[in-house]
Amino acid sequence: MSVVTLALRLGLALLFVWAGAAKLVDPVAFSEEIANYRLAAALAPLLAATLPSIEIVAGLALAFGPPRWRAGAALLVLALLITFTIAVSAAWLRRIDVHCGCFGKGGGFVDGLTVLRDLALVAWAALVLRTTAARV
Amino acid sequence: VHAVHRHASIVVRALALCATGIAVGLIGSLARTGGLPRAHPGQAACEAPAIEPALLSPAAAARICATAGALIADARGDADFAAGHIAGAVHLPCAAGEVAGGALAHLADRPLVLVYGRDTADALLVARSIAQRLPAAGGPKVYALDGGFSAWESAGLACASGPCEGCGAGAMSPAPVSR
Repeated sequence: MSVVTLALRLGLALLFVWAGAAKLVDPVAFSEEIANYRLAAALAPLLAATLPSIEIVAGLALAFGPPRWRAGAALLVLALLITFTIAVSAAWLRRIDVHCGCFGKGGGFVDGLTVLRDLALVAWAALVLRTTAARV
Repeated sequence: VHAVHRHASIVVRALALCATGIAVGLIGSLARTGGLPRAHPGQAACEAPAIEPALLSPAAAARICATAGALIADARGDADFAAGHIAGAVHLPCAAGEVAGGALAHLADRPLVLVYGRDTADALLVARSIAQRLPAAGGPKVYALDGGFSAWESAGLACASGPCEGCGAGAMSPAPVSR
């Protein structure tokens, strides 16, 4: 296992644990931010309660799980990131000036850079999934 | 067959991790607050009237501002307004995107209001606040300037500078509104 692939995997894992923990600080504010995307407002409370823990579980499994679980975690992370990218892209295209909510409070407004950042994260997760799945 | 089995096992594990996260989140939320984290009534944008002010480019904004009675509102801070503003603009005191109640009365009888800020998001916050708090029927058509004041300046359109009359007084400055 090269140092680069290890660093990519652990970096992504750390990012997800951090993002999940940041959202846990103020679940009500996170619920508002999800509702403001105007995609699934009715599901906002449920998503606000569960998304942070899903991110943390995925991050921990990606960092410390056995190989098959790491690959499963990488797939979950990739699926989440694709979903997030669709959500921020939809907000950006509809010109809704919504706070990203990506890393709890202070995530900033969604703009073109947010979409680009999410696309980069999707590419990162796809790379990690490829390397982890190859070792199963 | 081996590859299919391998891929299936990865998908099953991803679903298992997702289910674990959902279970942990629900249990944690119930233990902490006794329920799901609901947004405060009226706080989420979705619960407000769905009025989205239209965005205008500087050139389009300059055209519609020639309309009789049109009002250009500067949503930036006192210092920014004093340093330079769109010719004929009034300063619109506001905090956190909320327009002062007194200022709204000045807007209600205008045919259209163009709001600009330091950037697009700034202007949209204030424009949305105006659009949502004025009556939908008979109220002004509210626009937000795309790109903020810097876009207007870059387009070489008319600007003015000077002290902000009425700043901090809780009402709009009495600057002229015709262009």
